[in-house]
Parts: sequence; C-alpha cells; structure tokens
Amino acid sequence: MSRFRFFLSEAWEIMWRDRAGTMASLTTLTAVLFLLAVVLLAGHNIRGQAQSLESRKGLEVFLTDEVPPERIAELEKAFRSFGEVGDVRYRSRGDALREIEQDLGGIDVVGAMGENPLSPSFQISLTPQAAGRAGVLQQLAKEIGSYDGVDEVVYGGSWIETLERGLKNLYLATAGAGILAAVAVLLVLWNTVKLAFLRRREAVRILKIVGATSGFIRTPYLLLGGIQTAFAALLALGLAALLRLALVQMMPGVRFLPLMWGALFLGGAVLLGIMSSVASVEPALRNLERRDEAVTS
Amino acid sequence: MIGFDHVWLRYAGPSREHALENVSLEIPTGEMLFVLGPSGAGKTSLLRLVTMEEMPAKGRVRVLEYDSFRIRGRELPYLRRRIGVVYQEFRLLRDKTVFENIAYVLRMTGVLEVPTLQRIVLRLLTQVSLYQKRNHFPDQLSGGEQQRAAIARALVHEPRIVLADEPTGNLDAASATEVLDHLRRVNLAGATVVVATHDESLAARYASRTVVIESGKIVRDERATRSARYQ
Repeated sequence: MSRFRFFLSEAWEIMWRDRAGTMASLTTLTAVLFLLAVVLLAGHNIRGQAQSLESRKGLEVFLTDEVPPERIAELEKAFRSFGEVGDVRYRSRGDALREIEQDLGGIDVVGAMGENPLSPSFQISLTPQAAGRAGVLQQLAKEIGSYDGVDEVVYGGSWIETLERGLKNLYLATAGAGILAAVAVLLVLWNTVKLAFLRRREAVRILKIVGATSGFIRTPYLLLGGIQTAFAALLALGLAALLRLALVQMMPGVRFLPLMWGALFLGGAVLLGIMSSVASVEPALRNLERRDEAVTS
Repeated sequence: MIGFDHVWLRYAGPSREHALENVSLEIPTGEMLFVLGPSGAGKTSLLRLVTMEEMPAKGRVRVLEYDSFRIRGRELPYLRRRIGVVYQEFRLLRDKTVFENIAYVLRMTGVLEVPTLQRIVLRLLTQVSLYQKRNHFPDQLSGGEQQRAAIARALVHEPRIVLADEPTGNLDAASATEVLDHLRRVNLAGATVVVATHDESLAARYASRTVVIESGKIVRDERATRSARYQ
C-alpha cells in the first residue's frame, strides 16, 4: 500500500465514521458549488451570444473625395498594420453607388441627383481577440480619424458601448459569485474539518506520543477537504448538466461549460478544500503542539 | 541511555508547585528500573520527561543522543519512535482493531508493504497471545488483553527504551503478572525498561533497580539482589 493510498483510506475512514456530518457538509458544498456552476453556465452562454455580436464589430472609414489612389494604397497599408485589425476592404465611389442602387431596387441615383454623392470608404473588421476587448473600437476610430485623407469614421457606438458595459457587469457578477462560493466553501469545510479533528483529539494525542509527525497527522484531514470538494464539485457539475438538458428543450442552443472550465471548476474546488483544511487543522494541531514548540524557543 | 541532571519540573497552572525537585538519575542500557511512589509523587512526570512531553524548568534530560537543551520540536517524533510507552489506561485507538492499532505505528515509520506489516504484527500478536483477537476493537477486549495490545504496540518498532506508567493499575493479579512477564522478556532482550508503579511487591519481583519518589524528590535508589529479582 502506498503512503498516499494509506492517507486516502484514513481520510475515508474519518468521513465514514461521521457519516451524518459528512453528508451535511457534502450537501451544503454541493448546493454552493451548484449555484456557482449555474452562474458560470449562464455567463458562458451570454458570453457566447455576445461574441457573435462582437464579431460584427467593425469600422467604416469614409475618405475625402479627392484622395489620390497612391494615398488610398498608403492608408490601406497603414490600416492593415494595426494589430487589432483583422480585415480591410476598400470600396470605391463606383462600388458604393452600385451597392446602394442594388439596395434601392435599381433606382438610378446619378440620374436623380445629377452626380454620385457617395464617398470612397474602407470597411475594417477586428481580429476576434481585439473584438473581445472593451474600448478597442473607440480607440481605433479615434486614431484612424486623425489620418490625412480620412473624412469620417463610423461605428455602432451606442450598442457596442452597451454590449461592453453588459459584458463587464457579467464578468463582475461571475467573479462576485465565485468569491462568495469560495468563502462559503472555506467556511463549511473549515468547520467540518475542525469538528472531525476535535472528535479525534485523543487519537491525535496518542499518535503524537507514539511518534507521528505533524505531517502524518495532518495529511488525512487535508485529503478529507479535497475529497469532499471533489465530490461536491462533480455532483454540482452533474446537476448543472441536467439543468442544461432541461433548458435546451425551451432554448435550443444553450451550451454546457467547456471541458477546460469543468476541469478548472473541479481543480479550483479541490484546491479550495485543501486550503480550507489547512486553515482548520493547523491551529488545532499547533494548540496540541504548544508544549513541543516551547522546546525550540 | 537516560539521564536526569538536577531536573526541576513545575506543574502548569497558577500554583507553580514543583512536580519534581532537583532530580538527578542515570539509567543505563538494559536496566529494568521501577519508580515507586504514591499518587502525585512525580512518577508520571518523570516518564513524560523521558518522552519530552514535558520539558524541565531547570536542569537537563538526556535520552539516547537527544538532549532537552538542544532538541528541536521536529525531532520529537523521531525520539518518540525509539521509545515504547505503555499506560495504565492503555490509550489504544478505539476506532481501530488490535491489528490496526499496532500496524499504525509501523506505517508511521514507513513500513507500508502489507506482507511485511502482517508478518511483524501477527508475530507480535502471537507473542502477547492476542492472535485470535487481532480483528477485535479495544472495547471488545478485557483490561488485560488491552494492556497486552498496548505492549505489542509499544514494542512493534523495536524500541530501545520501554516506559510503562502504572501498567497493571487496571488489571487483576493474573493479568498484571502476564504484563510484567512480557516487560521482563523485553528487558532481557536488551531494552531498557522503566516502570512507574505504586505497587512495591511488583518491584520486589521484577526490578533490577528501584527508585522511590516522594513529593517530587528521589528518596531512595537501590539495586535489587539477583535472588530477589528472579524469585
């Protein structure tokens, strides 16, 4: 039997001996982590929708009528050199006229107005990375607007700002839910592990007398925290998957958390469980070791 | 092996009363020493100083190559692994079987292979006549059996020192004899054995040396004659 397996079996035994306490703790942890999983699920789906909107983010750069072809070529080269720019498409006055006449159902615009009233322009789209960052479009528009030969830069200012504000709030809400869940997990496990430790206080004293190191005594309790949060996180993810299955009947297209998110959720929960156990066991063990500590002083 | 140099020990608490006063004692390897004295005389304190559960207020305690002046907290487990301790109240892990109680000490020292564990523990359980009860929990055993299990636990890592604090206090005469016979065998195998008891008759039968403590002071220190030891 490896040392790790021995510690695992010890942790399991501690939980098994206090089945009622373990169940209570596991239920609370699962509920907390399930709520967090729901927030993440909602966030993931809203973010997915927002990304499809973000992909439509772009600029329309209107040029002055008298810009010579060499300057147009220079501007295109300059716009392509921006890291945030994904694609640049030039639309001449003639192209613009053809497009508008097509949109208007074949009306002769030049005939009606006496001349082509449209300006040449560039249609600029962002890279997917830049599209996901707040404020990029506004900053780019400002910069491009200062170029010689550029008459006006147009972008969907208000809806983009609303979208970015909404996304920022979504990230804040997710982070807030994450912090609340972390605090709840810490508190629940801190209490559970402390009670488990105190219940075995006499056994711990015996172990110290027969020569157990602090690490040997402490490890099963740390694993206990990790095991409980791992179970709770898996249950919470399972429940969130069921919820998604129910939602998909009403809202097709609802997606489950990506594998990486699931792994991070599980890993984060286990890490939190172990941290909480450390915070719980260390002071209790120190208390028992007070005499030993005096030796070193 | 064990040495006390002008050791003073105070009880914790507001009284600041002395549990031991200026105790000096040398216990060489292979000795079977009985510490005699009434309740509260300081016998248990003397043993707790050997395991360094207590540290002297003044003076020095030497155990094997460890010294109360210099030992660090993290070295204590390693000192204690070289000492076997038997208590009046047995102090077995109630939620583990007899086998597990003994195997636990071995696992702690890094012996994890099941065949090795089984070989060592079952041999020891046979020696203390508990093989048949290896899967019993402590509460399912008599006092004598629990004490034998405690002795097996104290001996499983082959300590060089065995301390027994009133090991027969909760036992009938027959069980007490069995327990002390075991301790004597351990002593004859080379370990230093220190037994704290208030029972002078046991000391007369088993001790190679007897130290009497009263009110925290050693008032008598005498060697037994050979005939008295093995009567």
